[in-house]
Amino acid sequence: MEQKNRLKKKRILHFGDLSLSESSGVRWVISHGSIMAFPGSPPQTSGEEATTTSSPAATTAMTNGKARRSLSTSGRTSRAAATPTSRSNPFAKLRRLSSRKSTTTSAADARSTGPSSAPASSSSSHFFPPVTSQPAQTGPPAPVKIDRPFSTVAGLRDMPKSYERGHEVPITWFAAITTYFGYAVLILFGHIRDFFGRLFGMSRYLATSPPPGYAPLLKDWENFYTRRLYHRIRDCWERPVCSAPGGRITVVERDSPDGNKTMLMTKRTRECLNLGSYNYLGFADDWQTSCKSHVMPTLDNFNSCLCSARMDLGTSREHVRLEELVARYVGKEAALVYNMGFGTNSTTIPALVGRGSLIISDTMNHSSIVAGSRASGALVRTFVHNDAASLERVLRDAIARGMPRTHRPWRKILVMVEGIYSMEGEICNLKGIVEVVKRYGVYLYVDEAHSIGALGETGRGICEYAGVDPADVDILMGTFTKSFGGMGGYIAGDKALIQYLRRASAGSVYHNSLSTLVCSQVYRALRVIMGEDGTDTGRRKIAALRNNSNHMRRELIKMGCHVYGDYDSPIIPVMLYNPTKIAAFSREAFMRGLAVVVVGFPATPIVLSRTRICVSAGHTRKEIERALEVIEELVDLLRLRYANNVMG
Amino acid sequence: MAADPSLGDSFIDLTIALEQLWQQVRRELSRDGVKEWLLGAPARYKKWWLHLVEHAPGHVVVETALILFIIWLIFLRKTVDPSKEDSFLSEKEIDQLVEEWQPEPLVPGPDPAWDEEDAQALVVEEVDGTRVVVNGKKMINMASFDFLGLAGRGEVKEAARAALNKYGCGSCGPRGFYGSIDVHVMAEQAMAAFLGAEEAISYSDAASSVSSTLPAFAKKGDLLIADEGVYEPIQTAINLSRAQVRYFRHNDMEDLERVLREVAEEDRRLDRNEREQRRFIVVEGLYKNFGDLCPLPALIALKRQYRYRLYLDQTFSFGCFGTAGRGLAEHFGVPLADVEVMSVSISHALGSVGGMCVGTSEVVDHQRLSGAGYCYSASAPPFTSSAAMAALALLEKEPELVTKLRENAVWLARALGKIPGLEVRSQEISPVLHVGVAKAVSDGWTREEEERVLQAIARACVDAGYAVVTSKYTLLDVEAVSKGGLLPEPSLRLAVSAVHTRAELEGAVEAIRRSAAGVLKKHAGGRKGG
Repeated sequence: MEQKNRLKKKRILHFGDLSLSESSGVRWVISHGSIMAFPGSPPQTSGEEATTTSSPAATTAMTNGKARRSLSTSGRTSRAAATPTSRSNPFAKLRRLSSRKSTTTSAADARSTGPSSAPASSSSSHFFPPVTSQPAQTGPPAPVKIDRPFSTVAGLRDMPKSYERGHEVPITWFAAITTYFGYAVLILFGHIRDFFGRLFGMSRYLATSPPPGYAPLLKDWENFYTRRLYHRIRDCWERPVCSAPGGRITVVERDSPDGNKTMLMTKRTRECLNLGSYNYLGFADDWQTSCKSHVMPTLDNFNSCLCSARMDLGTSREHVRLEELVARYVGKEAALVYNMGFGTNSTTIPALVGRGSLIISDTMNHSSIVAGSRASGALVRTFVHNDAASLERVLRDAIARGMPRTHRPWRKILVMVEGIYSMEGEICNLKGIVEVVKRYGVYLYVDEAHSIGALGETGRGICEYAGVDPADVDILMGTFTKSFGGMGGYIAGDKALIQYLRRASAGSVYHNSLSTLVCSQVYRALRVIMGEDGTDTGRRKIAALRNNSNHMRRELIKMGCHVYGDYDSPIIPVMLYNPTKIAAFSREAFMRGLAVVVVGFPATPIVLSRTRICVSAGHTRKEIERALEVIEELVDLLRLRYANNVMG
Repeated sequence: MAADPSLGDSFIDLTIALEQLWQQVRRELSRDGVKEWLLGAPARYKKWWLHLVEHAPGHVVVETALILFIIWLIFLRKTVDPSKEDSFLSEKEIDQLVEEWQPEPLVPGPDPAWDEEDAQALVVEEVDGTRVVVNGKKMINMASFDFLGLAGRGEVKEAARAALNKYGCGSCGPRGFYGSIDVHVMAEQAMAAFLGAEEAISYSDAASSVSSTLPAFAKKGDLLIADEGVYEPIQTAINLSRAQVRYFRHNDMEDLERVLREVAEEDRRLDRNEREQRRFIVVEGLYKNFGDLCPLPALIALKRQYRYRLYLDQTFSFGCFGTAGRGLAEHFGVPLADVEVMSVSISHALGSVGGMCVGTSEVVDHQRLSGAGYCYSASAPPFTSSAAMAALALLEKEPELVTKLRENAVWLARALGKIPGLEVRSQEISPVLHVGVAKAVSDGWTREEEERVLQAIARACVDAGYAVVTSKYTLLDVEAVSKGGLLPEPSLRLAVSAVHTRAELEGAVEAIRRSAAGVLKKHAGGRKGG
């Protein structure tokens, strides 16, 4: 224990050295929580990048009269990025695969004119410099450059990382002590206020006492946390937005007449830069031009929903063609779409496994997976977050022992992981996990809620990113709320699996089907991403997302913050730790016109409060720079440079 | 070496005593003394031992045996702990076990019947009021739960269009994290105002609203008394809550009272304080799987008497009952305050997408942190809230829709009741109708047989231009029957709407009559022939 503490301290000291030595031209890389140094090649500054992004066509574009998008997609011209084929990398094969796929699709779509000949067919195409060649025909794509996080160090970043555990930087002792102290004070004062409130009958919360003979509706702790901790800083969440959730949003300001117990919307609004929405590919930004003309006609032919379950009268041709497209997109035989992402997990899992089966779940899995697993009646065990070795240990143990008490063999074992972990920003070590899963012949379920559309050269998610054949994953699940600007979710798998789920999952048999409007929205978004709309908008969106997120992450790490997660992931959590900093960060950011999400208990462990920055393809490089300026200001104000200094 | 009792209790006396004590200890432990004592030890021990053997040999034997036994017990015995038995498996053995283990297939293998079914699935191509185009054929919709016909109303569509123009499609985030669009908040306020509740909270799916709400309040150790006929989302909610659950016979208030009395008796017997458990009675307003209403006044009397809270799911009854469509409480004229937690749906009567939970601020506020489907799921696209608000405004403006729906439901139920060979199992006023094969006809049939017949009738209706479906249950629920699960009787499930014209309903009745006659005749022939 002591040794561990010492180690931690040592690491912190190392972080302390980081800022000093950075100026001396030594390249420091924070990787897996430890420090590696690479002589020479200092990190490229954003200034350099700005100079490389000099294509005149790629500066700004107008959307609805507002400057929205500068084409930062040309990114940096680093050695490795410029010559993608020179890297020995598992993507080479995959890219060949995907390019072959897109050749076939483009052949199928030959009737629709090519991008260069018909720029007017989709008005979004002139947001980007004209494409000179179809990428599928010219082998490795050249026009869209992708910002490789550590491209200067050959070989290091070729593989998607996360082959070991521990991207998380440990909390410093100072932060830990002050955080616990902060909660202690909050809880103490909460109880004091409760006490005096009861004594004098002057509490805002007196109505909560139950009628005689009834148990209180809420147990002490649940209620106490909400009343005395959450309500104090309630204004940091649920800020209503009154515009499209794009790169810039208009947020309604709220007032509270009773110290944040109730929040009332006012007429005042505030323009903010949006770093909070899951609008990864920016479809909320250019919806008017990219999707509107394809979604609106659905409203003429259909109502907004069919008010019926899929197996009754809730299947429309929109559903059918969306399912076909999703299956083709993720590389599976068939797919099934659901009305709600949460419901997709919580109704599919019980259909797949039940009593006598075992679910082996990553410790950081999303609440919907937890709900589905609990509802299924299967036994649930967990393995250490993202650790294939731990998974193997748990698997060996489980198979060898069999069911508890009876020791009979398990009926099925299902391993559940996510593509990108939404609170950690970490990318799944899918390759390692698939190896283990294959070796033991168990089933694998991958939740791609955040990774589909956001990861991989063509946005096909974690399989493409990790270089895993989709056939090695039994069930691919994803949602449409994030990258596709829609709603609901899908399950993709073998035909038999989908046919079975159609009949066995409550989401398909009982619950109302996905809105037809949303179906056509997602269908259109997918077509754009796949490049089947005749432009390369999709590819540019994917590249822009990656460049933006890597730039943002690199700069935040440089600032000396504790940043969780991996490069290439669009979710960038920055640790705040102290409960007071949650509110302070959110409010100060909002005052400065930055809409950013802060997360505390119960979504995270109680000491690991964080702010979660979600980058979008809809952000221009200028907007990212502006956001970074504001964040740097806040970082100084709130002392968040925990990587440089124990005390932040 | 005890302290001298003659010492006084003053401080000085104490120090003197301590001093003396210390001197004595030092003397005892002085180097020579200890050495002497240690050197003399073996001799003393030998002497003692010989003395012992001489005077009490029995002791020596017994005690030696005991000591050996203890040594054996502690050090030599192989501990066989059944729970850790297999921890002795070697890596090689584990490898072998892994090799031997064969999991069941993930799902039951492909079934050729499924291909056939999928090929015949009803695929909607166009919707216009009660008219739909299914598989290229125009027909009358008798299956969608668009009870008031609001989904297709121009005002509602216009609201959706305006919202799409303003906000785009998705909301791109959970409600807590910049996924709250102002229309979400406004729709909640409108719903709360319409129902006269303090607050409302919206979920992006009606079923998830139900299955998230209950587990937010009922936890392990709490008690739920549920109707055994509740539909799947409530069943899931009960599962997720991990609370203790007892069922009463479907819609049987006497049975409910029996259960409540049993619990009260148990309380007395175990001296249990009823204030320690959160207790809910869980019912549906209009039972989806039966088409009957929950007898709310009797239920509320019981709940008051035995001091339970009431969870009422109005997914299907909201908008369909009461003078202005406020649902069951209005229908029976009981105050809404008697229902502590209530779920309503905006994806049925209001023709949009999603569900809501209404109640006091305490009830609603708690769910904003604890309702899993609210907290951890992206919110519904803003157009759904706009459409729901427009539909709600229409409902407020035109309460006669509810009356019209009632008239249609009653007319249809009566007309269907006259069809020979069929019987209406739902209540007359229910807009969800369950029609089964009359008991006299289906006497001696298996469940599959009846399902097949009803499926054939539904198919014949579709061919005749009326979209009629049978009630379907998941393979899991069907499977569960063999393990004691309950499954409602098979039926044709019709949904009537306020905008169905009398001619359309007459046509539907005629189509069902003809189809039923044809199918039943054929089936009877087949049975005789077989």
